Amino acid sequence: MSIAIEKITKNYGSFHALNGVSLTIASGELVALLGPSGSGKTTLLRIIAGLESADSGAVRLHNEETAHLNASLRGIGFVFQHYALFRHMTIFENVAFGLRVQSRRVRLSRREIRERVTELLSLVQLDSYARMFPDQLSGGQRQRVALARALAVRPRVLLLDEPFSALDAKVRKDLRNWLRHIHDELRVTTVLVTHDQEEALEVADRVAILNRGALEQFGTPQEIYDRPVSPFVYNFLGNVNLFHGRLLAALTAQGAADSSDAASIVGFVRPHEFEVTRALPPNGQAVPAVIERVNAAGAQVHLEVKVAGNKNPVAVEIAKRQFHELKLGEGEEIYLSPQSIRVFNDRAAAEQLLEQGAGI
Amino acid sequence: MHLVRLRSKSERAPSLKTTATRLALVFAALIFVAAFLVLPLVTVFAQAFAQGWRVYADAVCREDVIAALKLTALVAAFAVPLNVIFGLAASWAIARFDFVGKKLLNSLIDIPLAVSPVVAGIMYVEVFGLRGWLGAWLSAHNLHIIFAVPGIVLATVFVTFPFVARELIPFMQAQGCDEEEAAVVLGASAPSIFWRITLPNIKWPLLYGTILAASRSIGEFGAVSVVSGHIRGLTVTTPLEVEMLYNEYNFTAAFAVASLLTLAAVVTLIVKKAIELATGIHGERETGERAR
Amino acid sequence: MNDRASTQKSWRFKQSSPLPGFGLSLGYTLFYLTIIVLLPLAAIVLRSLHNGPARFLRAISTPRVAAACWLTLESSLLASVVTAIFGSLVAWVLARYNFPGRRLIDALIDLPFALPTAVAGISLTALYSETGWIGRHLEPRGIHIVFTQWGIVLAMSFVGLPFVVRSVQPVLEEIDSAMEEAAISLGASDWQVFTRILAPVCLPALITGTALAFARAAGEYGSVIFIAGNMPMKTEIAALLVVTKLEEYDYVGASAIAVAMLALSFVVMLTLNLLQWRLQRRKGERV
Repeated sequence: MSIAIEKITKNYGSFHALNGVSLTIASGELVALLGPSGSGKTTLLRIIAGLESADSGAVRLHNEETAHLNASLRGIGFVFQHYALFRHMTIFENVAFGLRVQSRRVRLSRREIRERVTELLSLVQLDSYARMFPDQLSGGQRQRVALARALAVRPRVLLLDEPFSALDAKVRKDLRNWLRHIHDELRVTTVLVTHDQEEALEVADRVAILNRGALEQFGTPQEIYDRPVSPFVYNFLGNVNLFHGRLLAALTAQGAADSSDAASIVGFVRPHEFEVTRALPPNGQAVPAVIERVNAAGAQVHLEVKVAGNKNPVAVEIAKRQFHELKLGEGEEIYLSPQSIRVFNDRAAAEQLLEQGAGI
Repeated sequence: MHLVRLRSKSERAPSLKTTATRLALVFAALIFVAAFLVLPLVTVFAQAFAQGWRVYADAVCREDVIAALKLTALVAAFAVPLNVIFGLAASWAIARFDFVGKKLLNSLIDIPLAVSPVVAGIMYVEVFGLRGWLGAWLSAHNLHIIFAVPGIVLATVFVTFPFVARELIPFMQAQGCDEEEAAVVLGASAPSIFWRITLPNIKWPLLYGTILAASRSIGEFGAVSVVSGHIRGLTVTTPLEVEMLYNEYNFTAAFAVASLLTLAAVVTLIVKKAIELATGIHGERETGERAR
Repeated sequence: MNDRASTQKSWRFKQSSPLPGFGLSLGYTLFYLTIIVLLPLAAIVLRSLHNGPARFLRAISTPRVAAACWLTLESSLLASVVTAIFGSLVAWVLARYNFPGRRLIDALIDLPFALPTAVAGISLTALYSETGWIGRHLEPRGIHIVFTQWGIVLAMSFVGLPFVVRSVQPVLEEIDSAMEEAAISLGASDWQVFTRILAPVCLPALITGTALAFARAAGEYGSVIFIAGNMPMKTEIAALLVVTKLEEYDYVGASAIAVAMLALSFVVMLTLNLLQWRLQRRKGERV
């Protein structure tokens, strides 16, 4: 069941939630809508569900226009951020709900409903909780019930609105893997909204990054991470260090281009993409730096490094072994050269990111 | 059709019914409210002024009416502060401490709400009346409670007993005692804690409860009727005066006095709504819903 | 909530707390409660049983008393049904829709609480009498409100309305719209959402409000005695009979009826509390 989103626009008064977003999701795919709050991702999801209506544009489910269809008729399953379980019903009744409200013609028999609910409860591993009430379950368990409930009516599309954001970190990770697992088994077209880039990159087949109502990039996790098309995408997916002007020239050996060019070009380097040496490397593409702070707790060692000519300190991550081999410590002088540097010709965006605290 | 819009938080919330049904429901509710609530309200004033301003003014300025108004004010002036003090004491004990029987105490405080006003009146007659428990002792000391002003005050105290406490208790429970504990740690004395920390924090529910108590004190009829003795000029409160005038077929005067009480009621409603809008306090509205 | 846990190894009356004033506040509270509430309550119960329970039973089963009690009970029940229906309608409209004048109506709902019962009584009588604005349309058609049981039911409904509205309205307002959206996304029609999701959630509140309206109606005096007509055996309510007996110095009789009324109120309140408690235990939190 494919989803075609065509030029969807949505405004709330003077606030532009979505600006002509277009996207095509293939049948059976798991797509993540990723972005900061206010990016429009939840709005888009709710428009697909029919819980909100777009001002212009169209949503096609398997090539069928949906604008005239109520949310109850689209054959979608929706999982809410705060579960939205029916508190006055037992777990069993919650999961059975979608099956019980079907019109008499298509409704399953009571026995069939019971079988299906039991099947789903085992799928989500909550068999023994059937007679309990939602308030007696933990957050993670409730979310699994919500998923079972959504899947009960065999939806053609499954939509999840930040389903794990209300849960603890560990539970979140477990549920994330588990969702991927279920998806691989059932192969339902799934759209997941999240603001957690780690979640999106781990779980999804493809990721759509939204910013301020516009689609920034849509691709596989690998594509997005390795070949980000804009500073925003680059920064959103992880920590970033920015270099421009003379420093950039030094790092990339692109020659000291004339000042107008230099002004708008910015280089992005991730903390773990630096090569750290004691002496200037042979090709000379490095900058001198002084280590200001060392944080050695954890798998990698985090260094805060001052580079002459850069206003903000540079974040560097190196392996513990290398840290000890080079006998580094606070105050030591080192040379930094980037293993990989991504250059964008968009100083305005880069500076905005800097102002927003990007870098460390 | 934007005359009737949905109040739900989501932008296009599930429209539970078509616009026509929505309109019909609102219309039906409005008609009901108009007939059931608005008309009686308007009737009071219509009847009061039925014979013109002059008659109205004369009715309201009658000697016995003035005496009744004074008595009502006096009774309220005693009953409300008494219950405010009680409310503060009870809410301090219940909302700030944990002890055996706390829940029971909480429920006991609600008793007056379940009791018919007439029963309340007769209860006091049984204790303080001539043939009551304390009757002999009281008349021996020439103290008159029943059929005198003190009895009226007592009966009024009874019916407004829980109002302030019921506003304060859930509020203070929800607030928690962190601030007061911090004050203790900083070395504040008990009165200091009370005046500087507790009181400022509870001023809105306190005001709300006080207004409810005052409104009820002014308007109480059944309980006061039993203990009053109906001695014109001495033990007749304003609602009783309304009844007496009405029973004497002096309808215009009765409604004239009633209109004063109605005005007070309307003012109460306005102030209540204003507090609710300003602070989000909804009070418990005598509905028995409360945080346990 | 900052209430402390209340179990410790040794039994203590009160959990230790750094806050001052416990003794004083509790002492005063108990003192005041005893004098104002408990003592008079005890007095009337004892008085009614003064000459033995047999006399008590006889006092409340004379034809006149029985008629008054039955009339009061029946009228209160009818009034409860009326308030339940209209109160729910009003609560629904206020909670779910926004329309011009909504705030005004919302404030008006509390009118029966704020208005003195005597004023309500004479006003309703004037309104529904044959010269009244509503009565003049009803009387010629043979619909008699004043001086009949219908008048009693009307007055009782008037005072009971706010109980139902104010019980149901907050519950409706606080229903998570996500629950409704979930139901819709699962394919429920509007009617199904109403009957399966909204109504069950509001039912406990409706029951509470209606029970409270009932209790209030059964004890109501001021609003009823003007419109009722007060004919013994026909339109005389229990509360009025208590007052009449008092004026005749039949203290035992008056107390007997009063205690019977008390018993009814307490039974209603107790049942309500038990229901609420059971509901809370089952769900683990307030619905």
